[in-house]
Amino acid sequence: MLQILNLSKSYHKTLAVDDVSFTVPNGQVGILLGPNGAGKSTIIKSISGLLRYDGAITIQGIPSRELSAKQIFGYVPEIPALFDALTVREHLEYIRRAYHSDVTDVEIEEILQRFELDDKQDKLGNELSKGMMQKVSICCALAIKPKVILLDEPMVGLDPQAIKELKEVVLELRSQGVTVLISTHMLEMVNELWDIVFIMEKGHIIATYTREEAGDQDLDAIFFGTTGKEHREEKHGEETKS
Amino acid sequence: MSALIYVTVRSFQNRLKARLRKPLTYVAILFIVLYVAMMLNSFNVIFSDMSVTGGEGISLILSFFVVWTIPVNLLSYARKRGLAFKHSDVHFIFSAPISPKQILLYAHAKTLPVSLVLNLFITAGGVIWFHVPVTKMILYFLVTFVVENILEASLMLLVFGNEFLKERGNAVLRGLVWACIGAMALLFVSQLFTKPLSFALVGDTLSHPLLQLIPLIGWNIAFIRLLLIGPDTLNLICAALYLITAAATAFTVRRMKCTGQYFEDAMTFADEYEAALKRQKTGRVESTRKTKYKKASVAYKGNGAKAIYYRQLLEYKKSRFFLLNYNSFIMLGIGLAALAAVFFQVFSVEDMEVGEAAVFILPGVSAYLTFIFSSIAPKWSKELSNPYTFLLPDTPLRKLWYSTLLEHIKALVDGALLCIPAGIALKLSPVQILLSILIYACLQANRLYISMVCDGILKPLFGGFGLTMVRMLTQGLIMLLGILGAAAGTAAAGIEAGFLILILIAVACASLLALLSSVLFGKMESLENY
Repeated sequence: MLQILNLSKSYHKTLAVDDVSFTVPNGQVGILLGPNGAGKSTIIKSISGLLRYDGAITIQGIPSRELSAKQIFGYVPEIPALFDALTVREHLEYIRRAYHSDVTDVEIEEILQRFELDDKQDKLGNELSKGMMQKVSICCALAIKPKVILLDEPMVGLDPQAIKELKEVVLELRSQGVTVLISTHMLEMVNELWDIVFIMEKGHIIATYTREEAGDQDLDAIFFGTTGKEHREEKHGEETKS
Repeated sequence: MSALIYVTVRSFQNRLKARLRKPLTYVAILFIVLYVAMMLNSFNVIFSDMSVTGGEGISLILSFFVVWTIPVNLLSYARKRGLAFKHSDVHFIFSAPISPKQILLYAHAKTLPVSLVLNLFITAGGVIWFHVPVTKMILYFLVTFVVENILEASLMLLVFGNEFLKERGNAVLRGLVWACIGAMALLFVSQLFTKPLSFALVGDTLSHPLLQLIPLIGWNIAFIRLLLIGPDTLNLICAALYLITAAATAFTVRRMKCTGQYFEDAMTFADEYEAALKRQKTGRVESTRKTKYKKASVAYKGNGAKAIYYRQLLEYKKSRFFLLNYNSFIMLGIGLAALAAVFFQVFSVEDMEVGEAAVFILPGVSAYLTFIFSSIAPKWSKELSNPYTFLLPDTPLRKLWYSTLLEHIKALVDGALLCIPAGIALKLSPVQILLSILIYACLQANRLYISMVCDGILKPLFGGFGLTMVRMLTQGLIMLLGILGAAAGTAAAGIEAGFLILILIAVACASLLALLSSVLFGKMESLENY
C-alpha cells in the first residue's frame, strides 16, 4: 500500500503541492493524471525521496525515507539516466547488491528477454538509445521485486512491443499483490490497467475515481469531464470559427 | 556499501579498458609523461631561485596551497555546492536503500584518487627537491592523507547531511568561513604595510605565528609545520586543535541523523555537474546560470541561410553587452593595461629596446591569445547542434557563412579593443594599428574553422586530448606559415607589406578550412559531434 498524507511542497514562494492525500491499496494500479504544472512530478519525486516536503508518505506502512521502505520500492523516472560506464547486466547486478534482492540470474535473463535486451547485456549505459535506457530502467525496477512500484511516464520512448510487454508486466504485478502508481499523459495506454485514478490540478487532487465508480467511462472521458478542458477547447474552437 | 564499491570499481575498470583500446591513449600518455618530466625539471630551478629548501621550504609551499584551497572548499560546502553527483546517481543511488551518509562518502571518494596522487607527488617532491628525510615525508603522507580526508569527509557530511541546522545555521557557518578569510587578509595587509614589498613577504606571512591561530586553515598549517619542521609550542597546540577538530567532527557526524533531505539540493548539483561535464566535452564556455535577456527586435532581410545571421544578431541585441563577452573584456583589459603602463611610466617603448620590432608585439600577443584559447569552442558551434540548421533550404556554404559572419565582426571588434589602446601605447601608426586588428580577426577566423574541422570531421578519429593537440598544432602551423611570410614581406618591402602577406596567408588558410568545414552543414550526422 502506498499512502500519501497531507503532502505539501513549496519551491521558494510557489506552492507546488497543497495538502494532498491519497492511497493506492495493496495490489491495485493507481493512475495520477493532470495537466502540465499540476504537481504530479513533485508528488512523484517526494514519494521517491528526492524532495523535502511536509506531510507523510508511507510504503507498506513504513515511512518512505526509511531504508526498509526503500528496499521494497521500485522507481522508474520519466527520464532514465544510466551509469555511463556500467553495462546493462552490471546495472542489474548493482540493483541486486543495493536492494539485497533475491532475484536470480535466470529471473534476470527472463526480464531482459521480455524487453528484448538479452542481446544488449554487454552494452555500456552511454551506448544505448533513450528507448533502450527506459527499458533498462524498467528492468532494474522489476529486479528489485518491489511491493510498491512507481512509474513516471513509463511508455515514453518505448517501442510498441515494449509497451505491450510493460502493460502485461503491470497486470502481472497487480495479480501478485504489488501496488503500482503510474503517472502519465498517455491516457489510452493505461485504459485497461487502472483500478483507481487521481486527477490533479494546480497542486490539488480535484477528483478520485475507482473503476467501479467510473462504470463504462474511459479515462479520456473521466479526465476531460473533471477538468472541463475539452469543453474549454470546444468553446475556443467555436469562438475561432465565429 | 558493497553496491557503491561495485559501481565505483566496475566503472573504473570499464573506463580503463575502453581507454586502453584506443591507440591514441598511448600517445596522450607519452605527451603527459614528457610534459610532467619537463615540469619536474623546471621545478628544480624554480625552487632554488625562490630559495625555498628543506622542511621550511616545503611547508611554505604546502601552506600556500592550504590558504588557497581550504577556504574555497569550505565556502563551497557552506554554500551547499561542490558535490560531484551525476543524473545516474540521482536515478539509481538516491532512491536505493543505501544510507544517505554513505552516499555522501561515495561523493567524497570520487575526489580520493586525485588527492592520493597529489599527496604522493608532494611526498616524492619533498624528498627530491627539498631534501627532507624519506621517513619524515612518509610519515607526513600517512598522517595528512588520513587526517585531512577524515576531516574533509566529516565536514562535508556535517554541512550537507545535517538536518538540524536550518538556513540560518548555514549562514552562520558561511560567516565563520568569511571571518577566517578576513583574518588572513588582515594579516597579509598588515605585513604589506610593515615590510618591504618582495617575494619574502609571502613567505613571512605564511610562516607568521598568528596565521597558525586561525581555525582550520591555520591549524592545518600548524599540523604541516609540526610534521615537516619540528615541534614548537604554537604548532603543537594548534596541531592538537586540528586533530581534536577532526576527531570531534567525525564523532558528531557518526551520531548525526541523516535521512537524505540533502537529495533535493544534490539534484541541482547533478544538473550543474552534468552541465559542467558537457561544457568540458564541447569546449563551450557558458554559464550554468540562466542568462537574462533584454527586449530587442530585428528586421529580417533576405531569406534562406540569412535567417541564421539575423537570429544571431537578435540574440546579441538581447544580450547585456551586445557583441561583447568575457573575451572582449580580456582584450580591452590587456589594451588598457598597456596604455596605463605607458601613461604611468611603468614602461616605454624606448626602454624596451626592441626598436622597430615593437610593431610585431601586437600580432605576437594576438597569436598567443588565439593559441591559448584555441580549445574553447566559439559561440557559433551551437548552430551545428541545432537540427533546424540542416533543414534550412540553402547551400551548406551559405549556411556556414551566415553562421559565422557575426563571429568575424565580433573578432574585428575584439581586435580593435586590444589593438587601438595597445597600439597607441606602442606608438604604432594608424595603418599599423588597422593591420594589427585585421591580423587578430584573421587568426580568430582560422581558430574558428580549425575548431569546426576538428570537432565535426576529426572527432571520431581522435579523443578529446588528441583533438586538442591537433587543434593547437594546426593553429601553430598556420601561425608559423604566416610569420615566415611576414618576415619575408618585411625584409622585401617593409613592415606593412609583411603584415599584408601575413593577412593574405591567414585568409587563404581560413578559406580553405571554411570550404572543408562547409561539408558539415550538409549532413545531419554532424549533430552527434556537437
